[in-house]
Amino acid sequence: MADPRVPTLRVERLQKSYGSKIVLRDVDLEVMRSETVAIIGPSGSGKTTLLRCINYLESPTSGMVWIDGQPMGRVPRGDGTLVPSGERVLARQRRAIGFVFQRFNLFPHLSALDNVAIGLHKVHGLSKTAARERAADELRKVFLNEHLDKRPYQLSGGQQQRVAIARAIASDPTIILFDEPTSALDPELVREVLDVIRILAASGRTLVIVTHEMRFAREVAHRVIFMDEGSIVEQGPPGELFGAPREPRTQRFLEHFVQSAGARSP
Amino acid sequence: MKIDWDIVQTAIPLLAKGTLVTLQIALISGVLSILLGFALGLSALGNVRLLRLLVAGYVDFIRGTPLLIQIFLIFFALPVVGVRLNEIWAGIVALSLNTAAYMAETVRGGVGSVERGQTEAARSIGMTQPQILTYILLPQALRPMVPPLTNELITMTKNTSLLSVISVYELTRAGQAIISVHFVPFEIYLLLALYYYALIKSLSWLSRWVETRMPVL
Repeated sequence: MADPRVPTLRVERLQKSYGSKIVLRDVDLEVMRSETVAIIGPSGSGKTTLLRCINYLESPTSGMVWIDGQPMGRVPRGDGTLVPSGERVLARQRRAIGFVFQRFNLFPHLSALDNVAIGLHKVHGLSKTAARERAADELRKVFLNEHLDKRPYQLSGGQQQRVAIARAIASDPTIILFDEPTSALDPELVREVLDVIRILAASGRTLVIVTHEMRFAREVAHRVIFMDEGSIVEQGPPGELFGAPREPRTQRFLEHFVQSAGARSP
Repeated sequence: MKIDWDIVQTAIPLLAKGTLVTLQIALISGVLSILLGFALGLSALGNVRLLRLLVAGYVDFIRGTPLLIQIFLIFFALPVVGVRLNEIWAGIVALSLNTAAYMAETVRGGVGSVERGQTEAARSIGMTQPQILTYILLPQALRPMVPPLTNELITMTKNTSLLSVISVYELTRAGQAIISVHFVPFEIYLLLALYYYALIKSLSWLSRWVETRMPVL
C-alpha cells in the first residue's frame, strides 16, 4: 500500500498550449487518497484538458503528473533523470487511471459485459472466464446485472455511462477521472449516473470529477476547484466555495450558474 | 454479321482452360494483396515515421504509374537483379504489389474513420497500439471495408488480362491464340467478355455474402 502522505495525484506546473493558444497555465494540484475533487468552471477554462493531460490522452507541453509518486509519461534513465516514455510504457502507466468520457465511448461491437471484460482479459491478463466473472460483478455494482449481453446501442445513455464507469473501475485503478459524465445525458437519466458516482465516492475511491452539476459537486466533493482561463482560480471545501467564494470570478460564475443552469441540478 | 458457331464450339473449352489460369492467378494475387494491403495500411497508421513514409512513397509510385509498365518492370527488371520468376509468378507479383497499394489506402481510410473516442477509450484502459488495432479498431472497420476491397479485387481480376503481354496463358491470351489461328476476332472477344463478366459477377456475389456474414455494429 502506498504511503498515505504521498498524494495519489500530483500535478506540477502543468502547461498545455496548442500553437500560441495557452489552454493550461502552470496548474498545480494535489489529490489525496480517497478524496473526491470536483472541478467546475466555464467552458474553455481548461478543465477537460487538465483531465486529459493527467492520463496523457493529451501530452502536456510542460510540467509533471505524478500518480502515487510515480511520474506519468516519463521513465527514469540510469542516472535518475526522467525522459519521456514511449507509447508502450504509457499504456502501462495508464492502467493506474480510470477515465470516464462525456460521450461514454463504449465499444459498439462488444456487449456490455465484454466492454468491461476486454481490458481485464487483454490488458490485465485475466483468463477470459475470470475477466467475464469480474466484469459481471462490476456491472452488478452499477445496477446493470440484467443487461450484461446487450450491445451499447440497446442501452439508454444513462445505462451506457454506467457501463463506462464499470469499465473504468474494473481494474481497480488508483484514481478515476470523470470528464463531464452527465453532460451528454437526457436530464431524467442524470440521476442514475450521479448515484453510482456517489457510491464510488462513499466507498473511498479517489475521484476527480469535471462537472456542471453544482448541487452534486456541493454534496459529494470534499473539495471543489474553480478553473478559469487555464488556471485554478480558487479551491476549497464545497461549503466555502459555494457559500462564500472569495474571488470575483468565482462569484460571477456561480451567480450566472444559479440564474441559467441551476435548474438542471437534480 | 454472321457468327461462326463452329469456332464458338471449339473455343468454349479452350477458353475454359484459360479461365482456370485466370482464376488461379486472381485467387493467389487476391490473397497476397489482401495480406500485403493490410500490412501496408496498418503500417501507415503506426507509430514508426520511417515506415509511414515508405508506405506513402510506395502507394504514390504504384498509383502514379501504369500497371502495364509495372508488369514489364517486374518481368524484365527482376532477372537483372538476379530474381528469376516464370511469367505466371512475375504476373502474380506485379498484380499483388499493384493491388496491395490500393488496398492499403482502403485499410488506412477504414481504420482511420473509426471515431477517435474509440482509440481514447481503449488507451484509457491501458491498451497498447497493436491491441487497439486488433481488438477495437479493426473489428469495427472491417465490414465497411468489404465493398471497397471487393472493388479492388474486381479491378485486379480484370487486370489479369494484361498479363497476356508477358505470355501468361490466361483467358485473354487463350482467346488471342484462337484468333491468330482462325482469325475470328468478333466471336472470341465476345466470348472473352462473357467469361470475364461471369467471373466478376460471381466475385461480387461472394463479396455480398461475406458482407452479410459480418457482424453489424
